[in-house]
Amino acid sequence: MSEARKRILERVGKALGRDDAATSTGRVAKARNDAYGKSTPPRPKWSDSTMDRFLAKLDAAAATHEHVASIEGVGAAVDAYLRAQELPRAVRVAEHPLLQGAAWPDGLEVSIGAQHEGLLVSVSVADAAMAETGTLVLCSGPQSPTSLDFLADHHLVVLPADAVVPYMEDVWARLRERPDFPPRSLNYITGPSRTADIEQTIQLGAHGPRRLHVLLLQPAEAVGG
Amino acid sequence: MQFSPQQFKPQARAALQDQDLQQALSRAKSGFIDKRRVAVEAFDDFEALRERGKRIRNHALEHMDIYLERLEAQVQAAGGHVHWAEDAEQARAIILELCHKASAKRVTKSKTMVGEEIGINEAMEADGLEVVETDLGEYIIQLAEEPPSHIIAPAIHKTRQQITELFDRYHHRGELKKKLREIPELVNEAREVLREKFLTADVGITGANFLIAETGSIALVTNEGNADLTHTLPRMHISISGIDKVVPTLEDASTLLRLLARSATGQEMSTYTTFVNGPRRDGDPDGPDEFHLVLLDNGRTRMLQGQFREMLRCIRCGACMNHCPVYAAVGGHAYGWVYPGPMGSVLTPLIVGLDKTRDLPHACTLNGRCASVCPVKIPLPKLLRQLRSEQYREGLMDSRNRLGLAFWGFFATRPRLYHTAAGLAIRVLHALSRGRGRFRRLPMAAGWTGSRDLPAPSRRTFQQVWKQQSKERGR
Repeated sequence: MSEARKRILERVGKALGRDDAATSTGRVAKARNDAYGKSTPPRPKWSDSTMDRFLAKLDAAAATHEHVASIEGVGAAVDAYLRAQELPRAVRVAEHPLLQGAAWPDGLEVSIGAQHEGLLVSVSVADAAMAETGTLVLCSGPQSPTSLDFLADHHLVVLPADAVVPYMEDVWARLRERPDFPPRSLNYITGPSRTADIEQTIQLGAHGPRRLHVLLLQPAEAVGG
Repeated sequence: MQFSPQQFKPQARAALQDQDLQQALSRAKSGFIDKRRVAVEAFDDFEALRERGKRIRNHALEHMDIYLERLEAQVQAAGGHVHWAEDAEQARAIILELCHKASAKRVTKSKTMVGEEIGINEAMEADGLEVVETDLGEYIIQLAEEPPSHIIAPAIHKTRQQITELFDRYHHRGELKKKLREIPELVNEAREVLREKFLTADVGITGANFLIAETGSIALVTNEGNADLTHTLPRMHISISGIDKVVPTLEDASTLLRLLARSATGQEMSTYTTFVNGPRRDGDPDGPDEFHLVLLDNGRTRMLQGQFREMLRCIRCGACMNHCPVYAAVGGHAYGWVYPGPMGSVLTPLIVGLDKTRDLPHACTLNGRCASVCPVKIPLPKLLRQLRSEQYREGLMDSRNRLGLAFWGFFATRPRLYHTAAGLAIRVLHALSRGRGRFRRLPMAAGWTGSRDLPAPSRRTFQQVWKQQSKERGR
């Protein structure tokens, strides 16, 4: 189909009145700058702290959260969540270096890896979060199987407090520094799955998780600091 | 795909008589409008955001060739494949060949309007593939064997009773016999049925909300999470997109996402926004082995050239149809093809030809609400007027309308004659109404009086009143 490629690009060039196909990258970048690129994009504004905004928007998106003082505490927090929700004491956990520090309580069945049969509760780690809309950002990779974020009924996400940034542009700046950027699947997740396809009535748990619970990893000295 | 835009008038008439449809439409009526308004008011300067969105889209269109080539190179660098299709037929052939290559039996689909545009479902089914729509709304209309009636809420025309019946017939062999089931129960049932399909599909097909040239990313936006299960679980992911969807950078996509969610559903951010970059990598625990992007022209380069380029800015949010009084009255099916409402009345003639879409440019009162809510400021009424004049120039208007226009034109270009004639006609009409203030029937005006009364004019024309009042004020 390379003929089709040639013809389409020729037609685009003709429609745009190109005299020569070789418009330099530098000229295009300048055109973008002149049109809008130099100014800051209009964005939502708020007066609270970044963390307060994040938690308020997280709540508005129908997600829940709790503070966890250390990574060891994640094991007990997950176990407590399962009991509170009257769920079987079994979780599927991403093979993330951070989670290796979690102290999993006795009697809690922990398996590691991507999706498996009968997956009910998964635990993964967020790479970033944005206060703008209460959104978690997860990058696929060996340490973060995308299937865990979508197939579980309950998705538990560990979020280091210092990964919360104000805006989407800040997320890009943070992630661009990583050598494997962009990952195969870069997921912005805002609350649990939902649909309004029947009578415009919002119903949670359409295809993805019915509940999204954030374990905000915030060392004790940082809370209220 | 049903194709009957030439039947707009009879379809609209039938839609007005369809009680289920009218019930569904009246329920939907203000929901989208109210939610959008709240989200827009909560944003400090939405007008500036719209202006930036417009500039981003204009810039991307003005450099479309450069950005498409950049996109292609980046998709390939990530291990993906890019295919180019000049029209629907080529796009279908590419996708069918890929499915054969993957030895596919079952294909899951996440809602794609371009997929509807090329009629991919029918082609795959004719080829013996099992095709499963996974967006709940698309799934419902797939069961009903109907096209979507709204670009973001495809089953907006269906009542809960109708969905209860469909699920009974297809999930319970008609044995349930319940008249009306609760929404959570219906959603759960679809979740269970479709979960099995997700886990066993060989190929997953999605559209693309945006294509990001800088990184070769495909942006996918859903609230259900079905797009992510569609691109993550099968062996092969095929994304199909119009060439118009390309934007320069991830930051540009961020601005457009702020516009899209607010304009479409009144959300600040849809539940899931995903950027897909090629297939599964070494060490990845999941993801497809192959990733293919199909880029479709299908009339878009023609639009790029002419006076309709602005239409290519469209980001498919649906705000124009949500605010359109014609759409609110007749729903999406009356428009007879894939894209309904104001954006559809512009796009459909430009894609399939003005000769097959005679009524669509006229399915508009020129009230301008669509243009005032469009997140990328597309002047839809202006484009519809341009289509009307093009229709006239090409001789596609029927003789009665041509004659009427010529008659009106004769007077309108002779102001003195026009005022005299109008003054006379109005006096006669006023006298004929004999003080009743309205006509229930009037010769040659049955098109109007068939469904409502014609108000009788006052004794004098606007110009006469204006002139007299100016004179009085001047004294």
